[in-house]
Amino acid sequence: MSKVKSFLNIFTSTVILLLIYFPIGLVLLFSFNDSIYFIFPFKGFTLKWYSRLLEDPAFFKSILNSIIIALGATAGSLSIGIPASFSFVRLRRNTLFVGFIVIPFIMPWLVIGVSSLVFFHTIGIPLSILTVILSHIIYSIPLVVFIIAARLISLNPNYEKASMDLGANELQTFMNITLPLIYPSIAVSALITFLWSFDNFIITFFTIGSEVTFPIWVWGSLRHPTNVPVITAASSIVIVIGSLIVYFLESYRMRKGLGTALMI
Amino acid sequence: MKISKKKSWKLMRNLIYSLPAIIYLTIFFYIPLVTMIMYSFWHGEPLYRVVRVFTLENYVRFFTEELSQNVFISTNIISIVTFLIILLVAYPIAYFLARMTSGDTGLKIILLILIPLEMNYLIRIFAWRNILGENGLINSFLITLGLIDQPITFFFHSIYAVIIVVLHNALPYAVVPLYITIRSIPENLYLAAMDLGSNKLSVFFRVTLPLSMPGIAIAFLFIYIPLMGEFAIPALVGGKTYMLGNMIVRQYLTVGNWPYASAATISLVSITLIVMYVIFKLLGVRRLYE
Amino acid sequence: MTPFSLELISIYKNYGKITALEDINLKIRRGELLTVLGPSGSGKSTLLKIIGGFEDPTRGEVYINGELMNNVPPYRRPTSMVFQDLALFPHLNVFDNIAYGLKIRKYPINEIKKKVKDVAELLHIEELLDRRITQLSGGQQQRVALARSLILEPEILLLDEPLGPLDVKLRKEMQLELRKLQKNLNSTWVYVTHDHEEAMVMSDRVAILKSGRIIDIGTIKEIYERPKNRFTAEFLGEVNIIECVVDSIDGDIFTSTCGKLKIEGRTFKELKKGDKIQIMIRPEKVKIMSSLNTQIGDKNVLSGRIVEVIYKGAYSDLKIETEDSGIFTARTLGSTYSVDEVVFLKWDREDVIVIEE
Repeated sequence: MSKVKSFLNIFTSTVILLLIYFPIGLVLLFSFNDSIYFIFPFKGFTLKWYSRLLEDPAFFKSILNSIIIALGATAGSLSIGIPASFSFVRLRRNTLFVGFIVIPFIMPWLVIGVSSLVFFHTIGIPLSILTVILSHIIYSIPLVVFIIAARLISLNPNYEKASMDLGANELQTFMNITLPLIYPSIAVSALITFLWSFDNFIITFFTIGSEVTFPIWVWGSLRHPTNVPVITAASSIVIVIGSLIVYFLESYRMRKGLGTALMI
Repeated sequence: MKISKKKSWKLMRNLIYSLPAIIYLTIFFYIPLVTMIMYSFWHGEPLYRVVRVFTLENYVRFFTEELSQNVFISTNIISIVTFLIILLVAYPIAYFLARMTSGDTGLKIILLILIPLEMNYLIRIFAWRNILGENGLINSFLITLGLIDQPITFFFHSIYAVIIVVLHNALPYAVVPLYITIRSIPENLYLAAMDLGSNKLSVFFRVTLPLSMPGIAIAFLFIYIPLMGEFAIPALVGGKTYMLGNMIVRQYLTVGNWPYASAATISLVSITLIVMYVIFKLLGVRRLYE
Repeated sequence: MTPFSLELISIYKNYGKITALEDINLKIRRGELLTVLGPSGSGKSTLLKIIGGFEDPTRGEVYINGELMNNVPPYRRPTSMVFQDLALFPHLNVFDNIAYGLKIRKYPINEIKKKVKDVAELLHIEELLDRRITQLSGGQQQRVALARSLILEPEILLLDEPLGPLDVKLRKEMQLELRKLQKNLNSTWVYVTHDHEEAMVMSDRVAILKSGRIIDIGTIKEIYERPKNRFTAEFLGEVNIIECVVDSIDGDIFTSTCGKLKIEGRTFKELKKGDKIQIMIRPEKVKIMSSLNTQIGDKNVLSGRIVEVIYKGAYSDLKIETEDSGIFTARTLGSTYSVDEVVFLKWDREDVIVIEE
């Protein structure tokens, strides 16, 4: 058995290192390399790709747009999703209702993207940052509902009963008991929605029109090989910031026992 | 009569809070889907010309034309084979983390696997391009060693590159549900099975594997369905690899035959719904969020 | 003013086709501690929920202090509940948990502080007010939950098996303390439990609940010694049940035949010759003897062979195989008997109880 165990141990470490971290580490490393090719040996240390990146107004514009979209999608899906999660808890055995909420979550993003495109085109709404926000909210409503509903389901129903028993009406109970107890899951769902929306490429691709978001900027730059080192630098910045956020988010969720990003 | 009235009143009261969600999803998701269904039954020509007369020709074309048939079949094969490869890699990892680590080590390693997940997947595609590509790391390494003189394009711009990138992208979507299901199998069950005379191998095939089916089903849902609609990975690293998603994108944005594109998309929607239905039936809907 | 804190009139509760409660009628006097005793699934918790206002009865009326309470939400009822899992708010500390009801009622902060201090002293938890709920032991949590309810001086305190998770020793201590507290406060409590020993300590009266019906009610002495039915008799402890046919009646004394055994006893209801009856004799009322100066065949005597000796510490239960009355249980304080020994059993006619089916 210990043979199996040491084999699995090596297997797991190898996969994580080679498959997941090696490519990312490479990007970080080569963002400081004084060459436009990914070739060893290292030509020399340079910061010029970063300085070139910081001189690129399109990059800043794309980051700014991505932030605006992510903020809009988060605000929209939270204000729609938080109340809906209370319905979801009560109606979670109603197949029709659950299906209605789940389907946009399971659908390939391509479908959300092209159906939004067809829809906006048909009713004559020009594509813009607003249409991107509107199409992102489709996917993030179920995301928010699942995260908060999972917390609500695991919440002991006697807390609310005890509060009412002690004289608090429905509103007072919600403000004093329910909200403080589900607050962490609201924060987590907000952060996950923000990160997801910031990074989303597939839906955005169809609903953005002529504007640029960060993933769209990367997509465009990937088609110009001379741009490779600049993308490397941009990617490195996003990798470091993104990893830090995800690290704190996920370790917070695990401590709070909120489940993981995937199983919600 | 009285009871059903009371019941429907209660349903209404529970639905009130989700009214904004229902209205939003109806307007921005379900009505667009219906719009696409309408398009799919109209006559279309390239360059966005649409004639609004009822016809089945788009579906007939999608299911009988050789090109679309091939794309449809190969996309399914790619998606299923990729899923199986991911499963083969993810299962041992999940099993190791769930059964052979102590304390919260398993969770910490899951965290390590999750961190890159929420990082832009175009960046990950980009990273792989730098390893597998014509001017990439492997080729330059092999040329330096003098093993080859010309860069090989075999790794890159091929179906293998697609599978590797998808593996990188989707591994956490398989490891996490498998980890959770394997973890939730009570320890006593293993002891009982061994107590009843099973050896370790047969415990695995008779207890662990059947009981981890829910995790496998969820992983299938998270990997197969997005792959059926994937277009960026094949477009960037796939070379000649042409998947259903690429075809849909091409028909919408390049060719401009929206009715035909819509018929293809609605076919994709139908597959998604069928797979979702089968898996939810298999698990019971409740399992997905409990 | 009515002397009753609580009156339940013909309460029914159905969940779909399942009947949880059936024709519950109950009157509880002010200052009384009523224990509702029953096995799990008998509807005890449902009954508490209906009194507390968390469930509406399908039919029937709930009066508290003479006022009709149907359709009054929990937060406007003068009742307070100590939940089975206590339901202490995990995001508030001990002080804020106890003060919750007063804060909701917008009491001035000085008064809240004083009242919390008083109730904390009453329950000996004044040291714990700054602690988090998770830092408390099981017993301390019980006290906080009680304090949180008692501070509101409820007309009726409802307790849903609150001592369940405690270990035996602590539970016994808490039982006595709660009983004393209830007497000192002279408040009305409804206490739900499935543990008959707890019910014996914790009650003025006991109501036995079975399948949603109250099948017996009275002081613990009444229902222990004169149970109305076999279920109550067996639920409250070890018991011998014998089926007999009435031979003759003389005033309130009857004699009956039960196989070869003859039993004489006192009855409080009309019997006539030939009636089939069930007779109950508690094991501790049975005298065990090694020899006999009356004869077998006389009234209220029996012989048999010991098949099992169950040591219970302070006493032992003997299982005795009789010729035709099946296995008989008798209780002895000594432990001088051993298996296979033949013994004689005898009891007074005052200890013979006729029960209903």
